[in-house]
Amino acid sequence: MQLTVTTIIFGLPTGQCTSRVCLTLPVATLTVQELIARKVRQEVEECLTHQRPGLSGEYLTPEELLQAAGSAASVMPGAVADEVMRAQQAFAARAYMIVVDNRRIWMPHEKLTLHAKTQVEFIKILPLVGG
Amino acid sequence: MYGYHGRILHVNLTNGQTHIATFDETFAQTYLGGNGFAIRLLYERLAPGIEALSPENMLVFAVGPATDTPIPGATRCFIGTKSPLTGLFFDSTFGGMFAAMQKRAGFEAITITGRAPQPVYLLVHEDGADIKLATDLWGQYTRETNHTIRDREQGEVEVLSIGPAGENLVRFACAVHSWDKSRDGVAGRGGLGAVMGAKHLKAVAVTGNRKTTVAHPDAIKALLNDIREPMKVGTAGLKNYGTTILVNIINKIGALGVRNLQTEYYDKANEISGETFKEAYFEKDTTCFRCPVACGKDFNVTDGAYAGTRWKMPEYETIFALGSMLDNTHKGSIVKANELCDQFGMDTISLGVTLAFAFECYEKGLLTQDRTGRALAFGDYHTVLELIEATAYRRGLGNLLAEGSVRLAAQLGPEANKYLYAVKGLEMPAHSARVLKGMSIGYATATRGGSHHDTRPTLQYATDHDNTTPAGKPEFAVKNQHFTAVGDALTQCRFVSERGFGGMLNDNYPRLINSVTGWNLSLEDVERIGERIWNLERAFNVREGVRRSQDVLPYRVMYEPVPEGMHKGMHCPPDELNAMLDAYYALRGWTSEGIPTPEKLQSLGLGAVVGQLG
Repeated sequence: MQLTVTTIIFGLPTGQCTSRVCLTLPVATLTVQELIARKVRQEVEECLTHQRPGLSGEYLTPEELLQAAGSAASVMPGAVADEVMRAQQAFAARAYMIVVDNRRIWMPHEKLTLHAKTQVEFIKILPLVGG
Repeated sequence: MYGYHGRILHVNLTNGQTHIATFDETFAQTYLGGNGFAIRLLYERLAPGIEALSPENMLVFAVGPATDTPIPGATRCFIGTKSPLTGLFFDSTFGGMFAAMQKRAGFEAITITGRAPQPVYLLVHEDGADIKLATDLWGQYTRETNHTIRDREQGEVEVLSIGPAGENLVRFACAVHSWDKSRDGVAGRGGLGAVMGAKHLKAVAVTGNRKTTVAHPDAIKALLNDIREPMKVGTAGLKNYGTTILVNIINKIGALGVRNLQTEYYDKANEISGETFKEAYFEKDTTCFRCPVACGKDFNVTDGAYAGTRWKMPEYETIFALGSMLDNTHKGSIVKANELCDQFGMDTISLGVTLAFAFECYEKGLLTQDRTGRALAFGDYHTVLELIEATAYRRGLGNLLAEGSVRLAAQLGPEANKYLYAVKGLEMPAHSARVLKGMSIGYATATRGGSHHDTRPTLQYATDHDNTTPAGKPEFAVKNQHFTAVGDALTQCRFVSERGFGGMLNDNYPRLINSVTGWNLSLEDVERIGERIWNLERAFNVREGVRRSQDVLPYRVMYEPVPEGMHKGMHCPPDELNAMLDAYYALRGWTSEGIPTPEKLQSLGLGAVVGQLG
């Protein structure tokens, strides 16, 4: 099954940044942890084969994202296992959120049943002020 | 006294008398400045029950110890008064250069009572104040007034004035300061412009050369070094887009009010987002005095019917009130509406939310063409622009709108109350009371009413904050209200303080105060000052009749779940609000009716208040 995952980073000095990655999933049901792992693996692979300019960045720190935005240089990945672990830990720490069909997912072990039209979004909000 | 000149100027416009009083270090340590000074003076000198638009009402212009020091962001001037919208204590703040110049005049506070027999403006200088005739200025727009007075007085003079709306006692009239070197400031909320108008006070001008000395300049340098990086990171988006950057973010999480809160997701949000506005109209950055963030932007409308309009950027709140709440995506009209509101001197939030309320009432048949004289329809920005002017001059339907949404609802029958978005008479801003549970209890207990500056939404947007549950929110509101009370006493800009010094009270705040004043306050001491100010504000409101039944949320927030988006289904039903209120009052040491107990007041050094609260 093919599934498109959208990542949106809000609050960058360059404005909202949206990127997408297409996943091929062997099963329709998987945990949030597995979804994160597959998404990150796919992105790393695409970075290494120069199909994408850098990581989409939801699990990076605000400092890393701002540095990248300031220098116009994208953040390139390290080892896959390290990146996956970091992304999963960042999700557990609520450094970003995952939203599936407009519903925020809170628990890493929640099972998701997905289909090709499921809207999956990884959303990062950089520090902002409340109006 | 380091950080203070120790003087308060009292002005009576009825008899033209002025008087300089002094205050000592004990007073300064008890209330700090800003809203602390304002509430203390208002509580002491304003008899309960007086009408907000009567000569007896008082305006207090107040600054703080950090004003005009190297501390960034301490650039706000506070104006406290009894609000003609809420009938309660209100403080509204504005940036620019006025606060620093008031401090240079040597007055931490200026009180103004009475009513001048003719229109006047007040020129405050180091020796006191002169009351000058302003009959020729009456009727002028705010910017023209500010420029005329500045040119007339010459030298380094900063001015804040009202426009026609304040003169015509529009209940949400504001006052505007034009700092020509950079960013204008608007004391937007609560209708203090109408209080000025009722006093025949067209403007206040300040001038002076007194320097504020600080106790420990090296300690200030060290503090600023420590906050530099978090402030830089935390305000990066703000620096580039200003508050407009919030439009897409808040819409994405389903918390942007649309068509008078009928929904909270706007499928056309990107058309009025910060990114879109900046690309279309950005001209230059502007900043308040000594602020490194520069969140202000000047726009130049280059297309459409309003091409040629050059004005400051509409803030996020304005885009909400005059954009999504009215289903208006016409960018040029929003900039134009912002200009008109500033020039006439009206709060964009109260105006926009009142218009949205009227439009929905018209849709529902509660407000009919025989009263409006015209059809009202969401998305019709031509009508919006015409009604802004009609409201400022109280013409036709504008005369009803000028009273604000709550008084308008009272004329339309009980069904209309279902469509109000206001707390304690103040129209609410663009931080959802349904989606952010911390705002639910925060709005209900805010001393200003429907304001986002008593309990702040900022930390509630972070992804590690669970906005969906009431658990822990009364505690959050209490702590955050102490933070805002102290921030307002220090006259700090929220953005600099939240992102630089921290969004809750922490060790940076006593460091700031001690380095300026030479005191040795602990974090606990500072928290206690915030709690004292908050309790005195509440006591003022209780004295005016506020009880638990006024700590309530709009019907729509309590009974109508958000219909779509990421937070579909969320609202704050009465049982949930009541449970939060019980917890909140208990944490505060108040009675179940929301009245500060004698023990609580005594513990905060407010013994004089005991026995006055009924």
